[in-house]
Amino acid sequence: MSSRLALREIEKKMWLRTFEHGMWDIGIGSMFLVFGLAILVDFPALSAIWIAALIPSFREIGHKLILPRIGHVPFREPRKRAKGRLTGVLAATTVIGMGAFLFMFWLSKGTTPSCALWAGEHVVLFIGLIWGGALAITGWLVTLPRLNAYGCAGVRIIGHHRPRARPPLGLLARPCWRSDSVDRDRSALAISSALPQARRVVATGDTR
Amino acid sequence: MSESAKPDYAIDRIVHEPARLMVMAHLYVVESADYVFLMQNSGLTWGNLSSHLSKLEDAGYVEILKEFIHKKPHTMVQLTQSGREAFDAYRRQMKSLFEDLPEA
Repeated sequence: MSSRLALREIEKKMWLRTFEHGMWDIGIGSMFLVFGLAILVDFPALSAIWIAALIPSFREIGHKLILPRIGHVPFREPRKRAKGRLTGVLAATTVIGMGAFLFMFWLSKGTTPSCALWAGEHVVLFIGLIWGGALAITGWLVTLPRLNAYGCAGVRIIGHHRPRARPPLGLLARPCWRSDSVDRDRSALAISSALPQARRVVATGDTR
Repeated sequence: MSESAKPDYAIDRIVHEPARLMVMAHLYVVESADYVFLMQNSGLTWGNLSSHLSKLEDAGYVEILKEFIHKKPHTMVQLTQSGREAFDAYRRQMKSLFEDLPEA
């Protein structure tokens, strides 16, 4: 039992306890991981898909696993409003994440205006800013300073990423937008897989 | 205590008990809370919490609502209006008691 009884501190402790289940840290950690992976495999849409998929599943996990373990506590009006705003931020992040994904999909489908191509070039930066911004707002709303720290770390990582001359559309990209190195690698792969068959044709004369 | 030695102020003993005071303080700052949350935050055991809540319920200070969520029993506890008033009165009383205390 705490030696100090101060109502404001009790309320703050109770509020913070509802966020101390580690789900935020797991979610944000996985976002860092997926973001790095998306850059590594040249498929930035992965991070957008992850953001869009993670937030609704987060809510579901919260209701099914976390709530029965930490307990349920409806707070009074100011905290209720903060929670409402938090839900709004998460919903907006999901919508924007989905929007970014659809935008990249649209870019990969056909001819697009030059401004859209410019946006495509900086899409990783946009996703990162959405993510960092959402974390900063969330951290402020729920008074969890570590979320702000995660947001700053995210922006630092994104700042490290340099946009390339061509849109990093990865697996969604049309062949003409793929980087030269990717095309070279794919050509080498095609040649190496066709080589044994060519050797067999030369040796046996069997063209089947 | 004899009748003549009785002080002219009366402390609400239901609220004054440390464990109940802690439970009421936790319930005062929220709308309601369930058993699990109260148990974890007050540091009381299940049985201890249950007995203190029964006393508070008998005094009309808390309301215990039992329901089923996904076929599992779920108990919510909330301070009643008289519970809030009793806690406020106790707070004022303690404050006035210690306010004019001379420095040691």
